[in-house]
Order: sequence, then structure tokens, then C-alpha cells
Amino acid sequence: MDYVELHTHSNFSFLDGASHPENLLQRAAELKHSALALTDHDNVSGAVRFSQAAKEYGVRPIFGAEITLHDGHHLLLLVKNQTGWANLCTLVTLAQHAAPKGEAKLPADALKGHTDGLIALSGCRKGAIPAALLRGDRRAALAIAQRCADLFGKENFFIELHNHLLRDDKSLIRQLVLLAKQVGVEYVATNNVHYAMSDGHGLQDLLVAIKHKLKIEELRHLRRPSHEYYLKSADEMAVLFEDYPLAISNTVKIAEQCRFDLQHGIQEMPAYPLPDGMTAIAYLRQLCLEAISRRYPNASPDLLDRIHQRIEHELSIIAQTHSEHYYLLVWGICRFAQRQRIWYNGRGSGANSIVAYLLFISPVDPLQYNLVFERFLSPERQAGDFDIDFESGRRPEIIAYLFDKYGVDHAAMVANVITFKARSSLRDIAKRLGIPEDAIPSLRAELDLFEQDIRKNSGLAGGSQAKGITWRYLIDFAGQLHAFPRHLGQHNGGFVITRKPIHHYVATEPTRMKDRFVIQWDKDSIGDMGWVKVDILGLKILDVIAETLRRIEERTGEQISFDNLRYDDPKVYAMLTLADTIGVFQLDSRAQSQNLPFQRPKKFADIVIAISLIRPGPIIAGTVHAYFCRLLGQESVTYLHPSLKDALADSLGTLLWQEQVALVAHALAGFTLGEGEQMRRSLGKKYAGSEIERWEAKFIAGAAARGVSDEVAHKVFEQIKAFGSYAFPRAHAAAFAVLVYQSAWLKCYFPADYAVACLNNMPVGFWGPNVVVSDARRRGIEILPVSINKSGAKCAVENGGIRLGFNYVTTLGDTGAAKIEAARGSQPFVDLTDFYKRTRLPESQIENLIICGAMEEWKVPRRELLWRLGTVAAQVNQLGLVFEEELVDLPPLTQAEKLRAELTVLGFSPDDHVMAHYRDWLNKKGVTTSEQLKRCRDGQKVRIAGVSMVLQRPPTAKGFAFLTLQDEFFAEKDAFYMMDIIISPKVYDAHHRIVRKLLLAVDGRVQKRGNIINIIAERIYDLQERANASSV
Amino acid sequence: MTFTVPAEFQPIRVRLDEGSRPVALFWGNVEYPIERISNRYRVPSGSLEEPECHDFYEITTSGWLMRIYHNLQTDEWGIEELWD
Repeated sequence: MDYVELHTHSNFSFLDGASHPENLLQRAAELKHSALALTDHDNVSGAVRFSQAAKEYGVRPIFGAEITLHDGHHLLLLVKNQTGWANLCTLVTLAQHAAPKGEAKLPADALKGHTDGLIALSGCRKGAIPAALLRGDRRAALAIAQRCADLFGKENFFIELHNHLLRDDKSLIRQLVLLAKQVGVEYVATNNVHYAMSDGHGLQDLLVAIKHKLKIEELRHLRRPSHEYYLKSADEMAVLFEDYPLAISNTVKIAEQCRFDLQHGIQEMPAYPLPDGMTAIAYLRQLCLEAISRRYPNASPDLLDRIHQRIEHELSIIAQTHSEHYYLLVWGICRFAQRQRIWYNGRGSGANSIVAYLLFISPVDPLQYNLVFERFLSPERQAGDFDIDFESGRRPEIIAYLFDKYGVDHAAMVANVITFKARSSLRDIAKRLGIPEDAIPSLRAELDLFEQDIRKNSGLAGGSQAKGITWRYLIDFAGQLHAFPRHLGQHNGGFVITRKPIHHYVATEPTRMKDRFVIQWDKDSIGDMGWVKVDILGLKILDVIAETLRRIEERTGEQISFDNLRYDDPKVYAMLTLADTIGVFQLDSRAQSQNLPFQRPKKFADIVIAISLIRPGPIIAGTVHAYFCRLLGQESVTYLHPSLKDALADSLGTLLWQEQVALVAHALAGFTLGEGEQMRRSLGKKYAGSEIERWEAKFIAGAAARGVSDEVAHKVFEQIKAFGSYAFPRAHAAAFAVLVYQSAWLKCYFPADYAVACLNNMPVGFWGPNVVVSDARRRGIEILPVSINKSGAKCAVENGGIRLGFNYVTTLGDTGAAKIEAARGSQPFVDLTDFYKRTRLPESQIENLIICGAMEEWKVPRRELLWRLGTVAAQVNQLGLVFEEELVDLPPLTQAEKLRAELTVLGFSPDDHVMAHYRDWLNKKGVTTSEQLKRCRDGQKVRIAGVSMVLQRPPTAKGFAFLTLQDEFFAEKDAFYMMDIIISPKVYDAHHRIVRKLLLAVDGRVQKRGNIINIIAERIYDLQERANASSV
Repeated sequence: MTFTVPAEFQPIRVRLDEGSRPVALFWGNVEYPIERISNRYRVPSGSLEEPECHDFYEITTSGWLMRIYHNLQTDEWGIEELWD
């Protein structure tokens, strides 16, 4: 007898289902089930993955959901056809929108009008009918069953029977069958599956425990009452329902009616308004031709030929892939941004397109960099997405434009499936398993390598066998939970826009913002469906560039346009080669800037390479080291196979850009470029699962067919696999490089305006404001303190110097700054009483203003102002009563006190470096300065000290941490002497409480590699604590 | 009336059919053919470290209604309750 499971929860029934959709389908295939239904709780998030994997396993997918009704009861819905899918998505949407986030409740009467194309099953024990029978209310059960039969039609409504070997299952089944007969509908068996295999119950219990924040042993009634909720064979189900064979055969009957599958291809886009009688393609052509003279002002006839050919080539593919309205939609967004003078920059693979370049969507000329359009769009790959960065402060204007233009029902954000990570979930799992609290804090530190450390930890935990087993479960569960969906979040910028309301295509959920919705598919699902999104992203560097240009215009009247900017200024490249890049987009990080003196960039293409190198993909694949060895002539440029030369020549034989994966697969294993791109995308997925093995087998076989040795093929595939985690497409890197150059050019020629814009848009880039201020000071720019009569809300350029703004005074906030500016008007504050009366700021905020020196111009010592503040406040607040001022002889703040106070309130000192204060004492302690450090020899033991600038523990660094200290000599020389410290996991763990302090001293050994100096830390001290102990 | 069987008297032997269903039980030296299984259910218990699972059968034998159990970990059978 055949059986089809019609009630299956995957792990997209968040914190309830305990198997990936792929595992369920794999098991269904093993059991020879012809079809399988996916019926997650109130969502269709797993539908695309389910559909894709179903093809792989040869099991026909059936789509559905278990809907939560307004009274909390469940109802199972299965999709028969396209109308049914639209109705299911609409119902899930209605249920999601009617309840708080994370819950769903379908409003009463919402089913009416949305039942076409759906088959309904009465649901699990939480279904209204079984629940009524279980509480003995047969009359209610009958009424509900009759209502469902009326709503869906008798042929589309089935009474659902379960037998999980619970004590009262048989009795409930008998009652349900009788009820079905009474109403005149049929019944069907399901197993309400929550995991693929019978041993999945432990993980399911754990998920429920995580959901309810309880220990597993505390779950009680929340725990499933038996271990029978796995995908069973037809034989097993037949035995369980031996008295009701119709219940089994009806599963097949229902499955036969459910023939819907998701259709791959770009979604229906809204039709862009076109000039009369013109097609979208013709309009695109017209726009491109009109823009040629602006984008290519001095084009030779030969170049013009190439431009025209490229335009026609792209337009033909755009037409084939039905992407013309998508292009126009994105063009509309960019035009809106231009009209509103919002800075933007198109990037991603869309920068491969000359049409995008001519429509001013992207800044990259693909002809100049020989960029292949098919990386973005091809009949094979179908559609690609445009990623556009906007000034982050003005991004909401773009989003509002989208919703206004297309309607809130037609535009929604893309979801982000938040998943468990094996290591980060350890603590949560440990709690649920009842592992003692005091053992938990050491977990992550101890569990560096799973298998080895579990043995060690079980020993630490007491060594009893029982505890050992619990620890083993911890590791097993952590491994199993890795990549498990946990809940739905929002993609950071992806929007989908559709012609019909979105809930016709996919269910949506509300976000925290009114009238903002998120679809239940993530970017992988969107990509697999062939849908397109527009990534509307915020990028702080654009705020910095926009503000710099605005300030230059306000200050000098000069309106700078980047349209005619040539990207070849030697002064800019000289600055980059010196690693003088603080505040420069992408190149200011420690890792990036350390490479620049080696790389010595001289042209725009060098910038493209520089920013492509420091990415997880190239780092893990070992590209960075190999690239520099080759660049510096320490290693010859070689290829694992001669056929890879064309693909990898531009990056000296290393794998650097995404496009190269497809080119390598094409050259070595005979893949089409489209297949190569598909492989790259598959390997980069969060849940690549068995896809990796499939691609590997295809790759190795393809390479073997071309006479490539097994060893070389495996080596190349391993490189590709490691690389797959994250790397730039070349076009994207080129688009980013435009911003790198623009920001570097502004820093080079307008350093004060640029530094001000950086300070006003923090956090931007790698460094904090203290480093930006020090860098400006190093360039001879005067840093002017906050002044209650001269500062504005933000920092500003004043007589060539930088006047710090109220935005740097702790606790003042925008409101406090606005109050001061409004009260001041054109009349300066004359003393503290005047200031207090006119601003009425809270005393704590005025204290901070005093402490940071904002009232220095009255020539009253800060300590005295602080003393007076209490009296002034009392006088003003108590109806002007005159107090006799108590005269106290207060000593002025010492320089050390002043520096520490400024550091506390502003985060840095405007006129001195805090380390200068400690210098005499540090000299006595044998501390080496940053300036002296460059003369130290490799391996020399040193003690250094400074202000902590950055502490990083990147996930790619195997537990190593990177600390950067700065002392006062950083700011006085022509070059940078930041002190870079490498901290091993062992040293980090030993000093984890100290390492985040602001002032640190480090004992360690010098490691010199060319001009790069690192200190390998051996011991770390809290400098402030040591200084206090020595009364410094 | 219900009679709960003391632990020391609970152990039985059981004869199974091809589908692993009990068809007769042996209590002491007496064989009780099972006339009907009116209900069967499964109860998981124990902990992660020491899991247990019992199948319970409500059966009719000559003159008795019984609830017997099968410990799936140890494969031991026993009588839990009798009704006359």
C-alpha cells in the first residue's frame, strides 16, 4: 500500500521542527514515498529549498502550512494549484499581520473567500475538532466540521487521524471517524512529522526547550508525549491504521490533487511608465544612446562601435530574461536620488553592465575593465540583483519613495533566516541540558576543537559517565543545530517589488515599522526562484563624501563634481602607498593598510586588487600570502594547471574574484560559465548540504575528462570551496574602488573638511574619532576644543582648524546641542549664570561641558566652575533668591586630571595626548615608544604602552586577537607608528578582563616582516591601574 | 475492581505473532491466550542519559482485562494492572 505524508514540519517551523527540508525529502525517497507535503507553522519560508531539493531526491513536493486560527487552534492547508498557493500565502500573511512578531492568528472569517485551490485537514490535537472531542464537546466538534466542509467543500475537507501510540489515540480516532461519517466527509491519516528519523526526538525536545527557555527536564506537557513523530514507512502507517485502510489510501488520493510547484523565473514587475508607443527595451536603448556623450565624451570611433555592440548585446539578454522593467525601476530610484541630491553608488555584479553605467546606476565602465555582462545576467543564470548604496542618513527617503511609488502591498523587504551557529549555540544548549551554570562560562574558551575538547571537558565536569554523556549530547546537538533556522529577520537592504500585491506570490510578515513588511523568503530563496531584488543599502562613506563636498562648497563656494575626476593623480597614490589612509574607504583598516606599502598602488586597477584581497574568501583560500610573494618576486607566478592561466593571470595566478570561480571551472572541468556561477553560489550558501559533494563529483569528473590529474582537480576544488565563503565580484570591487579613490582624493586635498565629515558620521571605517583627530593633528590641522559660544551641533572647519562640535560631549545629545544653539542665537553666553538661565540644561550635561573645556573662554578654572554650578542652579531655580557665595580656594585641575576628564567626556583630548602625561613614568619603566619601535630588531623583547584603539577577534583568525595601541608619538611624525599587537588565544584568555581597558601596557616580542612590525603579546597590564598604584 | 500487581509478581513471558504483537502470555506456569488487544500505546520516560520506553497493551484474556507492558530497552515484559 502506498502512503504519502501530508503533515510535515521542517526546521522552518522555527524551534519546533527538527529536520532540514532536505533530510525529510531524503528520508521520503528512501521510504519510496512518491510525494511529501511541507506544512510548516504559519509560514512558507522553507518552500523554495523544499522545491529545489524535491527535484534532487525525485520526490514530488506538496506545499502547505499549518495555520494558527484566531482562537489558537490549528488547521492544515494543502495547495492544489496556483490559486491555492496565492490563497495560502494570503492566509499566512493575514495570520502573521494579526499577531505580535513570532506569533500568528488568522482572524475569524478570514478563511472566507480564500479557500479556492486548497485542501484542508482538521489538524493535530490542537485542531479545533480534535480539541473539542478531547474535552468531550462532541456538539462543538460537529459544528466546526460542518462549517469547514461548507467553507472548503466536502471534497476538499478531510478529518485528520493520528496514531502516535498515545493512550487515548485509538479512542480519539474512533470518534473522529464517526464524526467524518456524520458530516459526510472523508478522513485521512498523517503522522504530524517533526523529524525525519526516529532518533530525532532528542533534538526536537531541545528546540522546544530553547523556545520556552526551560531545561529539557522542565518541559513537562510542552514535550511531545511520544517519540513517534518521525517520517514513517507505508508499512508502519498501515499497521497503525489497520482498522482504517481508507485513511492510508486517501493520502495518495489527496496527493494526486496537489500538483502545484513553484515556478522559476523573474517575478512579475510593475510596468514602468513608457513614452507613447515605445517598448521598454526601445526606451532603455534611447536612454543609453542619449547618455553616451556624457559617459564617453572623447570616445574614438572604434570605442563607439564597441559601446554600441555592447549595448545591443546587453539589451538582447535583458529582453530574453524579461528584466527591462527591473532596469527601469532601478533607474527610477537613481533618478529620484539625483533629483534629491542623495549620494549613491551602484555596486555588486550589476556593475558589469554598460546599460547600468549609461543609466548612471553604476559608476563602473565595464569596457574599461573587461567585465563580463553574463556574471550579472544571462539566460542561464537569469536575473541578478542591483545593489545600490545610499547615504545612510538619507536611505529612509529612498525607501519612502519605493513605498509611495509602488504601494505598501507591492514592495517588501527580503527576509534573513537567522540560523544557529554551532559554537555560539553551545551556551544555550548547555543550559537546556542542565549543565551547571558555573561550567558554562568556560565553555567557548575551552571548546576550541569539538571532538578533542569534549573529552577534556567531560573530565573537567567531574568525569562521571553520566556527565560525560551529557557533554557528548552538547557537542552532538551543537553540531546538529548548526545552520538550523532559528527565526526570520530582515535582510539589511533587499527589497522585492511585484506587479500584483506581494501576498499573491509569497507570504509576508510585518516589521517593527508601520506599513513595512518582510517576505518569508530570504535572499537564497529569492535567487533560487529567479526573482530579483533591489538592495537599498546605507553606506556611511557616502555620507562622509556628501558632507565633505557640501562643506567645501559652503566654505569656498567651489562646487566639486566627480564626473570629470581622473583616477590617476600621483599625489593620491603616493598617499595610499604610505598607508596614510585613516578615514579612506576600505583601505583604512589595519589589515588593508599594512599591505599598501608592499603593493605600492599606482593605478586604479591596483586599488581594485587591494580591496579584493582582504576578504574572508581569499584569506581562507591562502590567496593573500601567495599574491604578495608573487608580487614581490619571492615566488614565481605558477598555475596548478596551465589551463588556468587566462582565468587567473590578472591576480598573479591566485583566486581573487568571484568571476574567476566560473572561469576556472570552465577552463579546468569544462563547465559552462553559467554552471560555474551556479557552483559558486551553491558552495557559498549557508546550508550547502549535499550540494558540495554533487559539485565536487561533477568537477572532478569534468577535469578528468580533460586529462587533469585527480590530485590537481581536488586541490583546485578545495581552493574554490574555501574561497566560496566570501569574496568580491570584480565589478563590485571596481565600484567600491571608485569610492576609495574619491575618499582618498578628498582626504588628500581637503583634509580638514574630510576629517570633520568623518568625525560627524562616526562610526565610519575602522578607526574611532580619537584616531581621526590624531591624524588631523599630525597633518598640522589645529584641533579646537568644544566651545559653548563657537561650536555647533556638529564639528566644523574654523580658520583651517577643526572646531569640535557638541556631538562629542557625552550625554548632551541632539536635544542638548539644539537647546544651546537656540538659546545662543547671535548673543554669546557671558558667564555660567547666563548660560544656565538661557539653556536650562540638566546640571549633569553642564558638568560635562565644563569638564571638556567648553567654557574656557571665560577664563574661570574648570574646578571653580563645577563648584559654582551648584550655587547657580540653586539661585536660578529658587525664584532668584540670593545666596551668599561660599568662597573656597580650589586648586586648578592638573594636566593629568584635565586629560583624563577630557578622555572621559569626549573620548579623546583636543590639545594633548594622554600618554604624554605618563611619559616620564613610562620611561623609568623601560617602555618603548611607537617611534622607537621601528628601530627594534626582530625577536627583541619590548614593553610598550598606549591608548587602545581597536581590538579585533575576526572569525577567520582561529582565536587570535589583534590589538592596536597608540601613543603620543603617533601624532608628531610624517608617518604612522600605531603599535599592532597579536594576542594568542592563550594570552587572550589569561588577560580577557584587562584587554578591553582603555590604557594598556604590553610585554612581548617584536616580529618584523619588511616594514611591518607586530608585537607578539606575552603579558598585558592595565596601565591606569599600575599608574594609580604608583601615584602617577 | 482494579488490582495493581506488585513488582515481584509482574514479570511474564510473551509469545508474539509475525507482526511482533503479543498473542499469549505466561504468568507463573499458566498460559493466557490473548483474545483481543483493545489499545496499545507507548510511553517514553527516563532521561537523555538513560532513556526508557515502554509499550503498553490493554488486552483481554480468559476472564481478565489486563494492562501489560514491554520495556523496549531491556525487552522485559510484565503485568501492570488487572481488572476483573
